[in-house]
Amino acid sequence: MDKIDNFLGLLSSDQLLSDDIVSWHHEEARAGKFQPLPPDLHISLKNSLIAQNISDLYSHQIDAWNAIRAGKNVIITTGTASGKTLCYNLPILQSLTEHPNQTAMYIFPTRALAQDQLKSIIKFQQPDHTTNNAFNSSSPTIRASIIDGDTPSHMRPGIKGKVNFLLTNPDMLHIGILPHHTTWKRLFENLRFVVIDEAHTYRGIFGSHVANLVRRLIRVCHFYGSDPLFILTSATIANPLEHASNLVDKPFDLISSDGAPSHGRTMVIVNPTIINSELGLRRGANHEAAILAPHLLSHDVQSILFTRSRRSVELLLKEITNKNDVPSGWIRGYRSGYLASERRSIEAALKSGELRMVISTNALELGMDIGSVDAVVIIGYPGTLAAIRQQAGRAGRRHNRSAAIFIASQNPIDQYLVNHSDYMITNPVEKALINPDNLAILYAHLRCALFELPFLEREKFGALDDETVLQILRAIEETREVRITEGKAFWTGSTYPASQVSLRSAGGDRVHLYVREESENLVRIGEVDRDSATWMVHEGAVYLHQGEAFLVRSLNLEQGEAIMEPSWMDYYTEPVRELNIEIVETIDECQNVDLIKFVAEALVSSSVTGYRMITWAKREIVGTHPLSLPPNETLTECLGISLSSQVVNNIKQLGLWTSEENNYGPEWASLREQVRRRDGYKCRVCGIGEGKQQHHIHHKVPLKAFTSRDEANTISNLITLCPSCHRKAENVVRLRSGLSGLSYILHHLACLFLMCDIEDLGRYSEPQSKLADGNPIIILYELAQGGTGLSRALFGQPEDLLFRAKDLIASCPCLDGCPSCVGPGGEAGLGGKQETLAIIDELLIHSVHG
Amino acid sequence: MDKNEPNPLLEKLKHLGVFSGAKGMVIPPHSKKPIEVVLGGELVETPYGAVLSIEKQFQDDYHHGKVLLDDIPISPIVMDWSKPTKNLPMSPKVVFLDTETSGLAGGTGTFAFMIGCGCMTQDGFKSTQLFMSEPGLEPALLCVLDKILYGADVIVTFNGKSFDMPVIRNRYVLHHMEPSFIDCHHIDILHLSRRIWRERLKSRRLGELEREILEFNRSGEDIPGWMVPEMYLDFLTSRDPAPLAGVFYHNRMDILSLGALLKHLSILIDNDNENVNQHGSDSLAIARLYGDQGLDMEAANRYEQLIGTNLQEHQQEIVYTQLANIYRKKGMLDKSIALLELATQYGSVNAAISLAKIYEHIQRNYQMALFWTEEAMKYSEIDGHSEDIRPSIDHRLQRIKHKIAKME
Repeated sequence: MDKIDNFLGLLSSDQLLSDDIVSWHHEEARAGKFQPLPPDLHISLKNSLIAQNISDLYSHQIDAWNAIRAGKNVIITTGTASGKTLCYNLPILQSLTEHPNQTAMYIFPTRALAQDQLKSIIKFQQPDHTTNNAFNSSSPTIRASIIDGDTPSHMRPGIKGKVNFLLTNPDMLHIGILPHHTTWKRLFENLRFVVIDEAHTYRGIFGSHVANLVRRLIRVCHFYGSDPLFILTSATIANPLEHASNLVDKPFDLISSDGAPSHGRTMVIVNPTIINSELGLRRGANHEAAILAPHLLSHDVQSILFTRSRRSVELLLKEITNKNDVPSGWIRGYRSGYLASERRSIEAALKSGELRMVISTNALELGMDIGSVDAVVIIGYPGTLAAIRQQAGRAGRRHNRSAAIFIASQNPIDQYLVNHSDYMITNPVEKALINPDNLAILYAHLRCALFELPFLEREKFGALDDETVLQILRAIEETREVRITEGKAFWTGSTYPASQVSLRSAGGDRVHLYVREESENLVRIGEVDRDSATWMVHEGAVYLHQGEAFLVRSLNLEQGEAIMEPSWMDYYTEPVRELNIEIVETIDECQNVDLIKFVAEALVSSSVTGYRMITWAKREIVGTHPLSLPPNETLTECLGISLSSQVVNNIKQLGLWTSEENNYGPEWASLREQVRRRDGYKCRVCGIGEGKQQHHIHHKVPLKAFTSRDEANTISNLITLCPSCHRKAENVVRLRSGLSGLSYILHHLACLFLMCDIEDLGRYSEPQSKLADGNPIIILYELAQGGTGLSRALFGQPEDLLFRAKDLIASCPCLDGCPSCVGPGGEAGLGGKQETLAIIDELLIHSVHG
Repeated sequence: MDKNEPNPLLEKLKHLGVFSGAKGMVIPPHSKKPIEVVLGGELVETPYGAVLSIEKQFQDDYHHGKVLLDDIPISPIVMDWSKPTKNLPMSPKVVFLDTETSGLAGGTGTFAFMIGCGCMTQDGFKSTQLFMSEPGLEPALLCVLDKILYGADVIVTFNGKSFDMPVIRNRYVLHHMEPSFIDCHHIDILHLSRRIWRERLKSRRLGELEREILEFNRSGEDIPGWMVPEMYLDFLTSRDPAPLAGVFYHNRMDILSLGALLKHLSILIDNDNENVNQHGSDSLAIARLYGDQGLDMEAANRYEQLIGTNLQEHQQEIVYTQLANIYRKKGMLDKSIALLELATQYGSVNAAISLAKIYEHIQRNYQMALFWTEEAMKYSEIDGHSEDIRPSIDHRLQRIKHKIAKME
């Protein structure tokens, strides 16, 4: 038995863990489909492959060879570690051998990946000693080089003059290469291949930016008379061809039939124990991982633990190192926000085996060759099914046996997946959605494109028609950044527009994070984008970096810097946010007597109004502080569902409408006084007397459960409680509104089916909304400026979502609502399961009949 | 879409917050006189359209500040320093060039709407300024520029290495044109000015050099450089050429200053031996320039004259160490040692290390080598700038101690 078997054996026998295992999935080993090397493969490449111990190819590598050799644009979607790199390297190397002037550009989503992939090209550069030297004279000259933000400027002219394999990332192409394309003339004139690796990462806002970047790239190529082939690789997505054509306005061939052997992997689905059956509360997924971690370490199983957020990387790192006696250098965190040098050293230590465990965000999920990892622990749904597969694929790249463990969190998506594990393991349903014609993004890239080359009369921009192009150019004219004469448009601005656009966020600006050391020196430890800054590093926030806590002393948004100090506080902080939504323009609407669903442009403004301090030890709120920070305003798109008063009445008649605000009535003040006097101004639970503040009056049976206020306000239903006891009491009986429960579950399920991050969508519900003439409304809005098409995609299918929501709520084992179905306890109390189901039923009746 | 039609996207863009809106510029009405009438000059026709060219001949008694522009000799040292890649004729054709651009950002979106050239003629300095009245006329501008620069051997600019020339080169590429002056030799006066005046002047900007070096003051007609791009945009909207007169003046003065600076620098560098006492720091920089060009004895001469002058301490230290270095190369060790010892008066870490090297490797006097290495260590602790070299001093110290131990 090897160590993986030992470890899995322990899982199935360990008392604490085995009960939590929902299912085991053994992926059988699969034989590969091999084919001989192409007969016309250049001898030097053949020798190079043999030197790398490759004597035949997988069938999909041959498929790619044939398609690319035939001049087709392809997208390759075979599995993790199936040799996708060779799919494109081989035909490109062959072509460059035949045509020594040709050049190729490789675009990777991260700098790290480019560093990593450079090695795979350089392998072909090795002088070959096994054959007659006479052949070497015609072998391809590989002059591969990376250009990115780390490339020193004195090295760039040398690279420009020589390179035939240029490896870069979208940001560098955007800000460094295209605006200076004249200095890359030789490269563009001879550009034959553009490889876009990990194309599935280009979705949402980032993808919409990259699609426009590709339009600019093609435009520049055409200027130099070249028309390169595009080769895309991607993780499994539902719409590879559609996505490829959205990203690059060209027709594509799909290569998806995977000929690589699979060594078999065991996937373990873990659903943490219910620790409070009444409330349906489960042990936290991070906590479960912390229980698992020492076993991984003691069985010598090298592992990566993937968590959802930068914050939980730090929390988990802290928890594992505090509770276990781990040798230093065995465990480290990994996430964006760490400096590049730090990340490189972590990657190297992981590869060398010195590092035993890495706790990471999805930053490590892309195809970096970090060597063999025995097991992967996926803590909570990582945002997409594709990401689950990518992360699981990190295990056992070079081993025969590997394990992937999925630990479900309380989230409805996780709980849905635990009960539908087939969906997670076999069903490729997610689509990658982008919206290249998002107006804000278009505007930004048209300015960049104009800077790069003038627009000719009636010129299109990729698939964008010339009329819209001209309208945007006319808008740019208002700022005198363009001169339009005789149909031709010239950039006349004095700025460098690419530097005003960040591809990765709609926000753009960055906030640098500095730690003030004892010597008063400021040391930069990382950065966050501006929109995140207001809730991550506001004044008073506790910010976590490599497991250490820092207290933010000041945040200066104009200067783009946050100054912090090492903190020894026993608490962490959580921001309090406030939200306001205005509908700007309805895009599409579907209406019947009882229900309106619409997709619209909306102005969403959110502000961080304060923060809570929560103790590490007991997760208790020990204080709240107000903040005044400027709101973040986003003009975006949203999906709205509003209910008619008829529907509300129907549900009220069932006694299941609990969405209205409490109105205690005109007598309330005197009633309060009466009850406090009756109870001797003391808390009826703990007996404490009143201090400066009056005690609270609590409804034993909540107001919402009565049909009339007078019934609820009978003296026998009221007691005096101190604020602290009141809070506890409310947590037990406060009723959740069905409306907020519904918005909660729709939000989660929508993200699952749209393949978007939970943070790409926001939710809002209001029982008496101005936006719906005083009727109840649920809104799911996009957080990205201008929207990326998520709302429009949802508009078509809310019924499907409602069915699935009903299914999930009905199958949830909780008594009356829990974080896994209609919402977390801390936010708005418990209950709401019946109420939410009642609304869903009403809505389904009407949508079916409507 | 016509310009006057309502634009449905404009409002949306304003709402998105990505679009700042019009700058609300009110353009006054103006006379419709043609540009060549208002500003003078003539229109030069090309197959791509017409370009305005304004020529100005300055008499050979014209003084630009304190510099008489009757002739602009180029010092052989300056020529050597600028590293020509090919042989230049004895009296090369020199063109002074400066551009006025749409911005300072660089890249493919920055263009020159005005290119000024100057050269010496028998009658004195002559400037030729080219101007395109529409961005669309750029091929014509580039075409005329190519004719003017045809046959030039040397182009002289101020910061042209990193700005003007790359911008011009980009423009030719963007029109699929090949300029004939692509391999022309280039002297960037900014780089030379930095070498000579880094110590003495607050900045090496052209304005500062004009005031401090040339003693030249521009007239009120001048437009400050930062306003130039806006002026061009104003002209494109208003078509009123009159305000451009200031831009032409600005550009012309830039070119004249280039010529005057080159002449001043050349004379300063060639004849420095005779008038060292003017500015010690200039002379020191010039001595180093000679040294860097491999003219050791010329440099040594100049350093020797600087000994005992009222230079600052760190400059005096440079004089001693540089001179010691030259003497050491020439095998005059005693002189070299004496100078280095003088330099150590100022706590020069480098001088102490040089002494240690001489004693260790040439004289093989390890006790003295040890002494100077220990001194070097002491100095490095005092001056606070030498932390990174301390390990190597320590390494030297250990090695010398080892050698001494072996001898004993």
